[in-house]
Amino acid sequence: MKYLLILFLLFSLPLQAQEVNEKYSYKDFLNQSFKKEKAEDFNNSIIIGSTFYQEWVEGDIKKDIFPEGMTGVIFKKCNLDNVEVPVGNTVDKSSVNKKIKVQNDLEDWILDKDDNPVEPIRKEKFVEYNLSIDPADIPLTKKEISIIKEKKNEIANINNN
Amino acid sequence: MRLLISTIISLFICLNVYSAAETMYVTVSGAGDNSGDSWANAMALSDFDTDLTTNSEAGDIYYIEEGTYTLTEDLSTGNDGTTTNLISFIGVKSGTSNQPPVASDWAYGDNRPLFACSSYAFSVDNYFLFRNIRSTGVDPSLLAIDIGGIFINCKAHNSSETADRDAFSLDGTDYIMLYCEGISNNGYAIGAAGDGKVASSYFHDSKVGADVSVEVAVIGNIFDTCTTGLEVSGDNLIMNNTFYNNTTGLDGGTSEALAIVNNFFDNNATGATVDTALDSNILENNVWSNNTTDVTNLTKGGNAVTSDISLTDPANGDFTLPDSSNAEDAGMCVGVNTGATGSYTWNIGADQTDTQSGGAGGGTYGGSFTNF
Repeated sequence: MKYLLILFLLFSLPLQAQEVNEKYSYKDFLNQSFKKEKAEDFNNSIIIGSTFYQEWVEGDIKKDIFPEGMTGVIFKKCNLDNVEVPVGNTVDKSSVNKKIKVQNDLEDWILDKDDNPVEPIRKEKFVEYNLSIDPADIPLTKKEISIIKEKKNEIANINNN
Repeated sequence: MRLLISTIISLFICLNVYSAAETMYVTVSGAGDNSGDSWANAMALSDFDTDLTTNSEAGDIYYIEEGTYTLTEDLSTGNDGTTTNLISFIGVKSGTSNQPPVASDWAYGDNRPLFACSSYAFSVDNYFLFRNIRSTGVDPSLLAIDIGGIFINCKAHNSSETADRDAFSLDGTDYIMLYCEGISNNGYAIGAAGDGKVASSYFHDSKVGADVSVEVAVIGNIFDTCTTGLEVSGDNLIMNNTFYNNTTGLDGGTSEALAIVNNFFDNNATGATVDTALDSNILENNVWSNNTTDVTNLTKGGNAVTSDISLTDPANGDFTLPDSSNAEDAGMCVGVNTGATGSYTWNIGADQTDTQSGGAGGGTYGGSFTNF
């Protein structure tokens, strides 16, 4: 019985060792890169409730922001949109890891795996202002003002006159 | 059996129709059963999101403890407060145990809870109060309220590379913004559509500090290092503001009845401008200092101070008046010509501390900028 207990403890130790990463949990890392940080500060830990979101400006949608060799990290309740999460790490279902890019209507759209727009992030606002959420209706040329802001301004002008 | 069923249905209806406004508690990790009925049972962000979306009603108050709340979707609701019973979000310091918290528990500066919105928004409909809340992100409307929105001691920073996004969005009428800090690097620190009040706030490093519409009172604010500090498009009262280091301090556009009084225009490429020169735009008791061009299509107005006055250390956020400046006691105020007797003094600009030796200025009043 004593040996069984020792065996149980030995097998359960690795699970217990994966602890919450205090340094990187519940933080706002918007647009930050960690390429110069040590992988050991991340490895085999659980990161909860942090945003690593990268706003798309140019190039690839998903950005490679984590240190080389990072492994064994479980991301819970994190925003990893537009972030390349290296193989060997886990994005828990409570986190998000979509691709998002601003389109010619100056609104952010969620993209599919081929980087084609699928639906706007502010879908409810589109519906509220009777704007199409069909990607085929995205303007062919870049607007000078967001399609929603344009609509809001129209309404404000009517109300103020 | 039929009686039992009808009783249950009646009870259910009563509970829904007459459910009372609640006080709820939110922390980053949540606690206990996550019902939110106490700090010991605090909601986590996901519980808060669900409750706000489905159960929030007029009079509800959510006390939100210091910490970072990462959004993985829009935080929003279609539920409304009322004109007299708002739905409130109040940030409190870490470790607050009072139920409900008292004013000394309120969070200031970096102790305010931070909503890390990224590409999402903390966006609500009508009659909401945000107090002691911070937000960062790139969404087109980071912190947004429709009609009857109130922001007090809040900070929003929209760092989007895309142009014209709002840090604070006020899409409806009857808004109040007090004691807030707004930054939108390529857009509007505040984008506001209707009538309202903006006071004792600091807008900086933005394309536009504040874009306000008609019948707005803009009082005691600082507009610093923006392409346009304040953009107005209607009949507004603009009083005791400091406009510093903007390409254009104040752009009145097509406004036809502006009252621009006691404002300090310093170190701007253009201090104030409107599209068309009209007698109905009134300027009185303003300082025009160190601007490349003071006014376009406006006159400097009565009692203008035109000597160059260097503020104490504006590059480091200190917009106070230097000792013995000509802006002290030079603002429009109640005086003997209005029928009152006694000595009334008001400085020009946002700073009302009288540094002049022996002076009798307005003194330091509430809502200073020291707690941002």
